Amino acid sequence: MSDKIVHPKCGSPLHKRNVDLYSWHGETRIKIERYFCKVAASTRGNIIQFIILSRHFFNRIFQNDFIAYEEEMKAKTISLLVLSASFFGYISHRFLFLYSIGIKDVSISWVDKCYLMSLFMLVIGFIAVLEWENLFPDSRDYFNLICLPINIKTILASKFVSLCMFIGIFAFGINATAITVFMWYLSEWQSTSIFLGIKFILAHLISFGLAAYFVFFILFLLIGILKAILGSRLFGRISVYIKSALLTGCAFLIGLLFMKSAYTSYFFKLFYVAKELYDPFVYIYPPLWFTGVYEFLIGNEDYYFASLSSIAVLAIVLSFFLCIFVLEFNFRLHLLKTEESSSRITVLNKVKRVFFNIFNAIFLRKPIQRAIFHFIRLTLKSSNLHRIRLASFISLSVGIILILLVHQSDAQVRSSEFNRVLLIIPHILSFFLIIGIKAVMKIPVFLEANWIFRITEAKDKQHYFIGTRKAIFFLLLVPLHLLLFVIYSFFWGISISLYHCFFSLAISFLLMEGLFYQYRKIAFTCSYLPGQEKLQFFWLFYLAGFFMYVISVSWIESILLANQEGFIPFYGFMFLIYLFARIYQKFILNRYINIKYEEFPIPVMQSLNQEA
Amino acid sequence: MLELRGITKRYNFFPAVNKVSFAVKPGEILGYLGPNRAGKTTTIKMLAGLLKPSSGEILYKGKNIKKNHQEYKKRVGYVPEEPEIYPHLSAYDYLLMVGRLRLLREKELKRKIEQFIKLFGLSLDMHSPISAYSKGMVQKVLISSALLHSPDILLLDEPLSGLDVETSLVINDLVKKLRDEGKIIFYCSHILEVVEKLCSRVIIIYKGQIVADDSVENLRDLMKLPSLVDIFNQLVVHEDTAGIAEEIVKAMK
Repeated sequence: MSDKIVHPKCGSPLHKRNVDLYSWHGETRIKIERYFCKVAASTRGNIIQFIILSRHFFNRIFQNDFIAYEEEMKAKTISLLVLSASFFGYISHRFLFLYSIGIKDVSISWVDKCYLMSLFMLVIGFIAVLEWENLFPDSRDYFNLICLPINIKTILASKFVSLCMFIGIFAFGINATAITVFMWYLSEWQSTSIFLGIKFILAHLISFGLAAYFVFFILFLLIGILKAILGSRLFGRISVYIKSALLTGCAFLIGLLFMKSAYTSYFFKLFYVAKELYDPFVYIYPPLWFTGVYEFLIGNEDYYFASLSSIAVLAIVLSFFLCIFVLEFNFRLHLLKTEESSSRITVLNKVKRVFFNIFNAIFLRKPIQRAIFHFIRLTLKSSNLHRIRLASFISLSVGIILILLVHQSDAQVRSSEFNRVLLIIPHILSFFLIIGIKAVMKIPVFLEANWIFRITEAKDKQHYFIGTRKAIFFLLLVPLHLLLFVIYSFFWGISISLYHCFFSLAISFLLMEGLFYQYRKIAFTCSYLPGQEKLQFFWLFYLAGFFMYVISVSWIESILLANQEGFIPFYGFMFLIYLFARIYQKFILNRYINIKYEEFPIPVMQSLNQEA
Repeated sequence: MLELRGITKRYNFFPAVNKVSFAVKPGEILGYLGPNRAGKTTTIKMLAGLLKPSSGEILYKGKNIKKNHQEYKKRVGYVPEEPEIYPHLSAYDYLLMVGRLRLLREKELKRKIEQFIKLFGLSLDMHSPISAYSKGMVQKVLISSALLHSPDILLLDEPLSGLDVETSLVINDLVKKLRDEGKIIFYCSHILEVVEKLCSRVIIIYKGQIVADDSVENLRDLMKLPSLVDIFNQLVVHEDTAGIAEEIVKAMK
């Protein structure tokens, strides 16, 4: 019989040996053959789809609006990886160097390794939280992929694998330098054994890799559980705040570990004691589990590390399967529903309407101011991108404040020093809020739709900018200071906190007026070219400006608080400055202004010397 | 009267609209037709004030609109072809914003919005974000936003796009009523049957230049063709459409 016989049912060519099957009588054999042909064809198809989708989802991870606008992400990711690798390599050197210059590592370096593992897991956590939105398939994935002949399991698996690849790349990238440091300082390198070196490298890769995946799986579980409990709509609204809180927490803890304050040193020294006393406390700290994996893999025969590695493996396997379950559950629960419109006018909406009617009548008497104010309000309320960007500025200020507070309590300074820190907190917060909103307003929301502003542009353009400033003042600065007033009342009583918050509000109002003095755009409607701030060149000046502002303002306030009658002439003087600036703006600066709807790149060369 | 005199618009030296001149009287519906990339949307955007002509002038009531652009824009209502509208706003919020930007009084504005929303059947969805709307619903919002301030000039670029039959008939009747009110209506559409019934005069533009400018009856008589579709085919369609359709089917297989 020829080798070129084709199967009568599925048409694939049959090998000679398969043809012999036909010597069996029975449809059953043919049915089984047909089934395996189909399975083979569909498996091959699924594998191809899986590979294509994994690549697609992996590339999508680099469209992160938090870090970079549009296509800069890949370049920024590489820079971030290089920075992280250098940072982690340096930290590893700082803590492990002593083991290379005389202190023998007789199973004592594990606490330092645990410290480094904690830092590493926090960094991975920070990166994973930055990719928060990409962890679950979204409606774009649903609408684009669900109508294609792709198994849902293939979609979910490829999404999961793409995220694992991303985390794996980051975990490896961050450890690129640290691997060498660990191996060089800890492996008794004098033995010149290449196998020992390889053992250390593998132990490092495996333990740190497992730690990275554990952090990723836990975060994945957290988001999945929150989505399942809260529902996708409520989760969508509050996720930016949860994300910001997590990012701030991670950044704060990283800063704390990096500075290695008295608290952190004390905390890590406890592990020595706890291990000696067989305290169960040591088994509940996750970085210690993966430190155990490292110790176990390099051949440490202490039973303690073997038990820690077992816990690590169990945790990884359990979290992995829970993630799979949560992923599928969420996808089916949320994305297979059609989108429902919320047209019900609830009691809350009615109250909001009444409130805004009164507010408009008092503070927004001009229709254009009203239009701009509410456009900004609704955009900030609905646009995730803008909220995330604003939240990142706020998180930065909160992180700075937390570090200042910890530093103060660490140094056990007098309460007056602590009070000085409390004094500058509102100024730090409002400074970052104002520069944050100015940066965020540069990013357009659906740029193509700005035609409505162009065709309705009124003669008296100053109302557009007044509306913008009123939006910043009433939507951001006033709520911030109301919150601070409540908090400060617990520390200083109502009277002092009222003086303090009112002063801070007035100063931040002037800061806002200054920063928006020559603002010529309608928020969210102008095209945006990132990089025009040239942060990499001017960061020092911005930093100096920030410190000068905070220090000088808090110095003025401390003088006024000591002599409270001084507030009235001070506010009078500030009001005169404001009035003068307003008059100058109205009659001279704003007389002939055009609203900007388009940014142009700054020319590299101003002129060409044609005679040369 | 709205008049265009020698209007040209160049993009990188390429004239998208080349020395176009015509006038539209109050109480007239002018149909503006042409194949893709003929210059229709460019012309309409210049009339709306979104683009500046490279040369030529646009006159309204005998005055160059450049001299008093604000006043001219107050008289114009524009319905764009692409439904580019802020998706995060609801219909109510969007119309409220547009009305405020047009300096309408708050009470009157809210009354008008509620009526438009009711008449266009958007009451159930008026507080939902526009991102959740169908194409037809977005189009209704755009038409409402163009009519809020009772404009004298209406620029309609594919106004029936995405609309159901009933609403399309309402819009057609609305356009006729507005014509009877003495409005100037500039109507761009690819639906030639509608243009033929609605418009007293048509201009056909091809590669940025006017190739026909007359009433439908006169054009039929002149070219001895029974319908606007045939006139359009004769003047601007230079491809074998049946042949192209056959090639597409072959490529599909």
